[in-house]
Amino acid sequence: MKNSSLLQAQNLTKQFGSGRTSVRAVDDVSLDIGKGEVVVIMGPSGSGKTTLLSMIGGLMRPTSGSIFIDDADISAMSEARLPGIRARYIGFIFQAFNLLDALTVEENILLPAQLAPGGVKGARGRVEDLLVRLDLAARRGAYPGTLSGGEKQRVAIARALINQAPLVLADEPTGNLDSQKGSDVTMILHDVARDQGCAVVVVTHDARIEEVADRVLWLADGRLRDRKSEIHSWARDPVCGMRVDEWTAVHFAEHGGRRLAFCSPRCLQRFEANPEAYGSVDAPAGGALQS
Amino acid sequence: MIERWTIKSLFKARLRVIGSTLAIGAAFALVIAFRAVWEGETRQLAVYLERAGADVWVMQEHVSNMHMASSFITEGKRVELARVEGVGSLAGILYLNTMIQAGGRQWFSYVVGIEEPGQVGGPWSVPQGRSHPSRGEIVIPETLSRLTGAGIGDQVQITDHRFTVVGLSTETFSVTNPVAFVNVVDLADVLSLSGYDSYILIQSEPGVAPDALAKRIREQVDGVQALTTAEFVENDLQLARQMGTEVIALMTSICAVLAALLVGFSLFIHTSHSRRDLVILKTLGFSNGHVYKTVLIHAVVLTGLAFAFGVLLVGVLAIVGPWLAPVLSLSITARSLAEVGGAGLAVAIAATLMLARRVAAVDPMSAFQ
Repeated sequence: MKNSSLLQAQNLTKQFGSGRTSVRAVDDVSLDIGKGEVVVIMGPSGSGKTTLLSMIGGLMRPTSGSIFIDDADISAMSEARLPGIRARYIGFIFQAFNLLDALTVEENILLPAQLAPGGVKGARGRVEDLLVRLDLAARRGAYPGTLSGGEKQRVAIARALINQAPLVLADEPTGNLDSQKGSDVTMILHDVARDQGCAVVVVTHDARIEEVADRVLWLADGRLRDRKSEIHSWARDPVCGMRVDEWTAVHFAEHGGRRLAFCSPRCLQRFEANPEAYGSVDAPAGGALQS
Repeated sequence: MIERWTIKSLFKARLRVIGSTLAIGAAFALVIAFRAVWEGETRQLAVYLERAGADVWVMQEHVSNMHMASSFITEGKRVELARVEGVGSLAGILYLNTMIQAGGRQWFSYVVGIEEPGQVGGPWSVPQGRSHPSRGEIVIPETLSRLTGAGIGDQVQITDHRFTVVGLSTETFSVTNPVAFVNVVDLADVLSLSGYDSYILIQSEPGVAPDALAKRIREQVDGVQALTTAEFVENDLQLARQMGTEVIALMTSICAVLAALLVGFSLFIHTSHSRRDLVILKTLGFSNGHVYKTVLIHAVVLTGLAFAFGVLLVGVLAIVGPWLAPVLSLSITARSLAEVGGAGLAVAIAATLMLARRVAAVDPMSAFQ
């Protein structure tokens, strides 16, 4: 269900500092994302992915260039108007979930509804629907501290969807999840775009999300380029068993004369803490899964 | 929903809330207690005037108080006053502000000279001993007796005159002005004068309004001032309040600043601990205004709890006070509570303003970190 353009970024640049110490985190990036499209932005750490996502989300102003959401130029808007744009047009999903610990699952989901037309009362029906769809109905009264990582991320997704925002921005949404839960979240994001027509922009290192992406964009040194989705060098994360693209992976370790790729820093840390525990890494890191 | 978060997040940190409530509440309790002591002592100052039994007080012209005042009118005025229509009975008292030396201590007191047993202006409650002092005798407040150790049969001294304690009265003690009663002839000796009254206390005939009688006296008797008991009491209370207003205002201000700093500090700690949540709120689209509101609600709730705790503390003090500090009279008035409550609200707003910049500086970008 790909539709007309929802998000347009034109010649977006973000420069930090000035003079000889200046750094261009994002350099002349242009983007056009349609409704119902899932776009994955990948790239090494420090390549400017989060900076780009922050500018698209109205959390950071570009040094130059413009950003249009539904034809509204958010880069030219006053600071006072941006919170309203975020509340109504953008749903955020974070790697660290960012739920409010003092509120229950249901309250966390309803929180942004206060800022939408109809308010919390008008969102009651939607929250019921989301609780069922995301398999959270039984946990509606639970507090975040008692939820698993997968449940927390599903709550965060429900919160991002409660205001029926046309644009969902996700920053490493599977980064803190194990393989199965990461796959679940990936499929939910895919369904959100397909069923609700939301444009979903995902910044990630997780190659699984590529599988549901309409486009994969590669950001390196602040510059964006399309990457053909068929170019992969698949390897297996020796800790969680997840498929990792060595072409895009950023977490590596040398062990037994071989270079191993990991899906996340957590898996890398676990491996480094006790490499001998992962004896099944005999198979070559790459090659066997080459596509 | 953000309001729900505001309250729930505050009470999630119960120990912090309890600590803040106790600290800020103590500051409020201090203010309320200062004012209660002051109000109690001020009220006690006027108890003699209220309980003396007069409807109208007559005094020297241009005098309108007893507190910090001297008044002398010739005894001849009694005859003129008795002729005024509506005067039922009258009695004169002599009065002196002076030190009573007892048990090695000196106590600034009102000394009242009375003529006859049972006359108006004498002690109205004397549970121990006699209520009427003859020559060389004195009736002192029971509390003063306890504080100085001077009991019935002991000697006390006023200037160079010695008196034997013959009665202990109640309801006549305040820290600043206990009231003692001596024979009028002795007080005339102390004052080295005769043929004078300080005040003449008048009881009106049945059916005569005190204010009408006072007016008639002012019109018909030269050289005197006549005030109803209510007017006389109000004048003394006003004078006492004027004298203490600046001290009380200063103490209230110091405690209010202390409370503001404590509220500000508590909010600072709470806001620092809630910084991550504030970041999330801003990222989700809540404006600075929304976030200020949450901080203000935190401040108002904390201040309200602290105020309630302060009132409770002073209430307990008022109950146990007579055992712990019998010399103090506490009076907690609704007006005083309303004023301290109003100051508390101002404190909450001031504390919120202190954090305005800190709240504005919360960067939603850090949600990605």
